[in-house]
Amino acid sequence: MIRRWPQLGLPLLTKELIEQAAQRRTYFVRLLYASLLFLLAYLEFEQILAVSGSNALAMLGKGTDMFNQVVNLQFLGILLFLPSLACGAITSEKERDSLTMLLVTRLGPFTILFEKLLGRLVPMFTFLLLSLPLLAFAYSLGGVSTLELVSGIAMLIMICIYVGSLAVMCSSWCGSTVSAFVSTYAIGLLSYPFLVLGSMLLDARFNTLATGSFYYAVAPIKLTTDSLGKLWVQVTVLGVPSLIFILLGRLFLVRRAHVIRRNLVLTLFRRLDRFFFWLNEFTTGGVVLVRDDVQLPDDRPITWRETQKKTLGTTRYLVRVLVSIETPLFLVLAAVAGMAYQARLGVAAEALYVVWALAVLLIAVQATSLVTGERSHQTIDLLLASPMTSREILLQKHYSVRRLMYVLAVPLGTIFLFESWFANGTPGLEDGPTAVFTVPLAALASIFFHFDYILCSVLSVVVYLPLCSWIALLVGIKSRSQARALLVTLLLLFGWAFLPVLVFVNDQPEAIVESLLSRPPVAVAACLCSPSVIILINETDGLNNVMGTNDHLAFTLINFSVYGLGWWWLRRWCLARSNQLLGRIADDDTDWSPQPAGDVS
Amino acid sequence: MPPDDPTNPKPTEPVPAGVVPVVSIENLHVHYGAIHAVRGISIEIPPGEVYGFIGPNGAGKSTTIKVLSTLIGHFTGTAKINGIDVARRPQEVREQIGYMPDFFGVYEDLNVREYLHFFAAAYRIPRKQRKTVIDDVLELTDLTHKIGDQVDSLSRGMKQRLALARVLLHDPQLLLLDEPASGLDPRARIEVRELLKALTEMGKTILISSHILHELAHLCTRIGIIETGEMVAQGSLQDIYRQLQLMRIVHVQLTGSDDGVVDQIRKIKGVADVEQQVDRLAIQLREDHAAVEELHEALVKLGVKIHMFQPEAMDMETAFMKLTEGKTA
Repeated sequence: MIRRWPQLGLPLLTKELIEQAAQRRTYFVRLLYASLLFLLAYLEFEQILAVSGSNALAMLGKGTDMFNQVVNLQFLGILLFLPSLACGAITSEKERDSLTMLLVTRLGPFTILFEKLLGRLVPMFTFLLLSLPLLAFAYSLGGVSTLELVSGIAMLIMICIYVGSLAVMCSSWCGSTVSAFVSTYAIGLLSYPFLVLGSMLLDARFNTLATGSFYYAVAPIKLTTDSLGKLWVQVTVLGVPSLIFILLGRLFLVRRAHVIRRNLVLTLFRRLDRFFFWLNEFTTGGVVLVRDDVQLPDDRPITWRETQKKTLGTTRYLVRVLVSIETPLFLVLAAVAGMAYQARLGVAAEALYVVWALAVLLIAVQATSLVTGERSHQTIDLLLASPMTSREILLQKHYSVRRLMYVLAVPLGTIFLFESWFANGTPGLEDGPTAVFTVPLAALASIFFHFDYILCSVLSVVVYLPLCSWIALLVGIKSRSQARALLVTLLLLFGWAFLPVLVFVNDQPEAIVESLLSRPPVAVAACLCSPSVIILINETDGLNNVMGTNDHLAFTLINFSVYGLGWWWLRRWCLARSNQLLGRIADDDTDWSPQPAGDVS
Repeated sequence: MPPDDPTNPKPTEPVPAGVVPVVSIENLHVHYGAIHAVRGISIEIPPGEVYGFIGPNGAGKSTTIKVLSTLIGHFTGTAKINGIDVARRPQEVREQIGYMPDFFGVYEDLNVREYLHFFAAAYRIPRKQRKTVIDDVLELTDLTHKIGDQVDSLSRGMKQRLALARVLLHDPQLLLLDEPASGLDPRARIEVRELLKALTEMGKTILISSHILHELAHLCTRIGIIETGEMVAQGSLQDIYRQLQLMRIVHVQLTGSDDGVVDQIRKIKGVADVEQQVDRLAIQLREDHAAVEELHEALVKLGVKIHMFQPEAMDMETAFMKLTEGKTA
């Protein structure tokens, strides 16, 4: 009997790679990634040049900074790109109902999982390859040992495998790509302490314990060691959980092949609903202040449905969102009021960043679902065949996001008020029982002492929130599924916001702002490159003007004039091209004047 | 091109002079990238007619209906509803059509009352009239008892009836129904068919697409058969049968005949070809040259003994199979 060897065809991997190669998006993303990487590396090199002057010999041995910068950028790139690339590996098959067909082929579950994982890792490895010329250049500058070079590359590959396995495992477990995406980041964060613990245990076992082992596990920027032992420790720390993720992924692949898709936001809010109902019963005996009296639609049916029937749109849920954010925020800010000046302002600034991130997330979820939701429910054609104009449809849809923005403005406003009060020295805090009255009055009065700061803060809310909402709405219109729309929107908005952080990745916020404010044209350019720069400047320098410059108001006005103009133009462009965007024929001489019924502009 | 050629894409029964056709499509072409989905279709539908649009999946039926529903802008040729150009005045067109797609769009968070009120508002029906209008369409579609039920909980047949109620809200003159009976069980299908008959009696003009042939045979005054984006035949059912019978197949079994008989049959007037099958002869007869009875008479005159003489029966499915080849665009 002739023994036949198993054939290694890797059909799934081939299919995945061919599909990716056929998409223009693959090349666009790769080009964008390479441009960004090389631009940031160039900026780093310019800094080296600035320090070394025109002396070529002075540059020798300066390769370490550039090497660390490139490795670190790649690390951030992996964290940003790979989850979004890999979390749809299995869920996309589930969403297309094609996973069952795969499972009944001769491909075993492990083969399917392995090929899916490879299909996501190969594109990421091509991103890593982009940095090889830069690493070689940094190596040639000197200051980087061969082992450091090898260990940097090895760690990047291991982190790719770690994040990829985690994302594919979540993809096996979850029913939708959005759930898998959120789960990947959530489990990634939760697993962080275990990585640190594992790293420390192995360090102790192999006597390689050294300072910075905490970072070695996840931040290759610290991989400046020439110890082979430490490298093996890190490879083990990342390799073992990766293997566990793959094994779990294989287990879930079959067991959860037919898992019912759940709306995470809806589930979360239903749980919140139950909690608030219990809380209300427990504390007040069931007093209802805001009743959801569902009425029939008036002349704005889409607005009616968005605000009366959808989870994130109803008044009751908006109040709950507000309470959920405002209560812990208020307690934290009140608790830190007694701390030292810089400490309390630092906590408030961090709270602001968190609330901003949450606000952008909620707006992105709401705005991307406006049109994609109609598509997934197959109701978009019914609306488009009705006499409502496309402009009306978009404006009525957007109205629900406006309500959410009003709600999200409240916690942001609370932080601004607290910060100006903190900066004013927390007047009224020592007034005993009367502080209940004097503190709010003092906080309101403090606004006038920090007019520049408050103006910048208020403008950031007034301009940025609607800008985010229109970007998310546009991405939603252009996308085929809500999962893709949400991923693209979040990558776009957070990438845009984190751009300055990437440029100044080794620096503290104060150093970034100091560096920017010392060169006003560069500061203006930086503001116009990323919307988060003005917030960073405002939080660092807006209240106390430690940098001693008087350009804050000018920066504010220039920044928000440009972004405000951008928002106005984007809104106008979306409305003017609403017919084309929604895929509908437009009248030859379309009249854009407000319609008698339905126009909410 | 002969006037009775079944592949003639021109309407076989033009709209009488002076009457504006409700639907008028001329030389319609639609491309999806490299795919040429609709290739030069021309249709005219006079008021009150029920026009059946037949074709296999992917033939271009839904695309043509979507053009009329103002949902596809990238087409060439002209498409008019009541004389209004779809490409130039889509907003006016939307007031005059009721479009029912081949899927049921579900707002799972609405009940039947809210669903209809939602679309009544979208169609700008004055608020004071909405309740009366909704009661009327619910009564017509026999859904009055379901007014408080969640849309998502309705059966598929009921959902289709609700969709019909929706398209009737603004009392459009033209109904564009894309596969209305698709996926329904026999009872629900009959209910939808009866409802469509009632709408026809109300004087509505209906363009209905389907690939279920006998469903349309009972309902339509005219049909158009489309394949790979081209109209392969259109006219009344009788017209199409007559056109196809031009080459009717007659199956004949002869006893005691030799091979020479076949050559003699080929020479009979009207016979296009004779195919020798295992137990019979399949004679292709041009009926415009000779009737079936004349063929029988000619065979008797040849002195052959006829054991079986069976002209092939013509029904809608046969016509469809004859006209189409199962290709898609």
